[in-house]
Amino acid sequence: MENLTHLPKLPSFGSIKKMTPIARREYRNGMIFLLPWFIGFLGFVLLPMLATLFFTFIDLKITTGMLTTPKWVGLANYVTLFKDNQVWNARPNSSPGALWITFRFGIIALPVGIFLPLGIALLMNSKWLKGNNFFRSAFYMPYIIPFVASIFLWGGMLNPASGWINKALEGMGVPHNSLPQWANDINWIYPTYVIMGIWGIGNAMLTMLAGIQGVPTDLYDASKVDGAGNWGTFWNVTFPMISPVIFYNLILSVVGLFQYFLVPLVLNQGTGAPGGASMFYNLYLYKTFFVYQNMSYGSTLAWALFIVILITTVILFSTSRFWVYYASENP
Amino acid sequence: MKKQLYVLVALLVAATMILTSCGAPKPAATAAPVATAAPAATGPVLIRWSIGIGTGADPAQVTIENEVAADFNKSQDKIHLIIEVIPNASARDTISTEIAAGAGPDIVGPVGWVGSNAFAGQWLDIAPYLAATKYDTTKFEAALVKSYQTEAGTVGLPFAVYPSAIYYNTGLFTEAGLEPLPAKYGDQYKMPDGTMVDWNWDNLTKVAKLLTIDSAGKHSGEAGFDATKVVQYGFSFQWEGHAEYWGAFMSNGGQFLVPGGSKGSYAAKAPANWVKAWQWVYDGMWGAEPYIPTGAVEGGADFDSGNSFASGKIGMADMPSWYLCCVGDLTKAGGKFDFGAMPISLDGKVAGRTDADTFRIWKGSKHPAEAFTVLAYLIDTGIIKLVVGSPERAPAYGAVPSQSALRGPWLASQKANFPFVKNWDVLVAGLNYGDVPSAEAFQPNMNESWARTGTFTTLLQNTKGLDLAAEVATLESDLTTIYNK
Repeated sequence: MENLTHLPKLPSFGSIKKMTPIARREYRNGMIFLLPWFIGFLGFVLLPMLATLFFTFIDLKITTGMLTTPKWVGLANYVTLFKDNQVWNARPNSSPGALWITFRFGIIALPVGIFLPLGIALLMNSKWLKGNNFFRSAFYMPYIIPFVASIFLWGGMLNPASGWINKALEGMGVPHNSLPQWANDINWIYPTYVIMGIWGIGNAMLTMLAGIQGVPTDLYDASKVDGAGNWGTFWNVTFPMISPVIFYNLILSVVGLFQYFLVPLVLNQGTGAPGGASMFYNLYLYKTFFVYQNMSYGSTLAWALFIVILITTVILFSTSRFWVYYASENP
Repeated sequence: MKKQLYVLVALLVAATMILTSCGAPKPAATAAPVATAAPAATGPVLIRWSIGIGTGADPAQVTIENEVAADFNKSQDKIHLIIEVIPNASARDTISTEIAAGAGPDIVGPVGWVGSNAFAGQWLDIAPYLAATKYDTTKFEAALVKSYQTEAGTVGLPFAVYPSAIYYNTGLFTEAGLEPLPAKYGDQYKMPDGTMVDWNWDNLTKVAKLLTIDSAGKHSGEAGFDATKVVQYGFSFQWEGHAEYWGAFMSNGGQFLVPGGSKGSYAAKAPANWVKAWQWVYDGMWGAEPYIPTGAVEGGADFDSGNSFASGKIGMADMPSWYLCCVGDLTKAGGKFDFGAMPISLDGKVAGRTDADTFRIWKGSKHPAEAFTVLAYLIDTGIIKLVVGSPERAPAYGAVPSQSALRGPWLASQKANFPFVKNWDVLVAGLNYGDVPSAEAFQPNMNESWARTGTFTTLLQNTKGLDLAAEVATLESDLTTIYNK
């Protein structure tokens, strides 16, 4: 925090009175320019946040709540949350809890979402690759397609009955009864989501490529002089130098993981099918708010999510000093 | 600075409380059924009819619904009726939002018990309007009228009912050398060896196994039968794919909610026969001698992507009459079907299951009297195009009319559409064997309760090797939590 001491401070009311007329006018104009942001922040961020915090202590239903006065229930919603099997259940071979689903999916999705773009970025940076620009565009292009449209596209391709992927598999000799049911199958659903997610790695690939290209070439020359091979060069030079970019993508991926929502909503109609396997935490939260009409419990879930993301992010930041290399901090 | 912060937070909390206490206007009291006077300058009173929470959002249905609305508007000049069609998948969310904003539709429907119970407490008690207009309810069976009399008053009138029956593929029965199913409730069934047996679930299982065939032509239970290469199944609940339906079909109704609770003390307990029913379904899908397709199989192209009976590869399907809407793929391919009686339930009594749809008036409607006028029109006149139909034109909904006087024309219409069906009587007789309590009976936090059991259902349909007893215990625990949220 001591790094922030150099930032300018807001003047106190007393010091405003002591300002020269020009300084006071500048201060006033500055405040007028800032006012729209303040109003937006208060109206659309802080007030709704405080409102949802207040909702967690009352019994508010989206419909009945408007016809009756909500009751003060204290911490009852938090007690329900801690007992809610639909959030916590981790028993194998049963309907998994929403938080457990999110973690389980993350175990597959996060490594793929980090290391695949890194691998592709390394390939894109290879001097042996011809047509770099074409491949860069090709990998990035799916990222610019609207997300919902891409889910529908994938839904069509992976349709167990009519999708061309299963037709191709059958053409290659996979027995009809053994064809994957993709998002309809409890064993295939997470790999299916991960496969779909690969389509959107263009942005991460591009930031990693930029990081790789920003590594000073003299470091590579020095490693060659020291006799390092390809792996040694990557591990001792490239990886540390791009570790801030990897860390940035990791943070975004973790936050994105906890907010995973659209794919199960569109592809599995938000029902949690098959067997509750697609009831991700954020989807459960949304359904609690707007389908189950329980604003209070939905708000409790939202605050719990906020706290979980906050704690996870803090933990990741605290580990960063062990593996993320900031050149500016290491003269 | 601290003091200023406290003041700011206090102001924000106060603003929050004010906002939460604002919202929709209090609902109109239902005690005074006085027609709202339409201001002369603004013309007729506008009544919004929301369609989609149940059946009715299909384009072919919307055409007929538009005609009914136009007919009503032509019949008088005080009320202007408009329809608002919402896709079924988003109907609950849309209506929730509209109600929350104080702009709910005046009339909602047709809607069944599940859809209605999702908005428990939101429906107008129409008893005062029935009394004020001297509405004749004797045209309906008393039991049907009674089914709409709840703790919240009379919340609907009988409109469309959907008795259930076993739809069976007559071609597959002939191929397997099986006798037609009983055409009367309580009749026995003649097995292939000539013995006459009670038509119960045990004997239905035997018939279903004989109809479940692998790619080598062997039936389930026969030596050498390969359960991984099944090409035809004996039985399906198909679109009644919800564990509460399975329980009700097989055990004459039932409910999770333990009577007598209140918020904080509600409890869920699966009826013992429901658990037996679920075990029966689960064994039928995952046992060594299967007779029901799993979720993945039934959703596949070979089984018409879920419309499995219409694929012609299902021997029997236990479904309500509304399924008449969707057997087209079977009949277009030259397939034929007929109706058989529902089996004797697990409690030993002759049993069935009946769905029912009607129209509801939102409690917050600003024009409840006019909304009731529209509701009465739909029940008495609109029903002709919506439910009865004619030999020349099928109705919008595949239901049986709730008024017995209209069942003759309805039957004529259905016979014209399905001339090969012989046992219409057994379908209509199903009205005498409703599930009590209904599978769709009220549960606190209905939307979430129903969704949770839906998750349990798809778990059974898609997962081999489950510990069913443990899953049922988890389900009961979850439902208890949901009831008390």
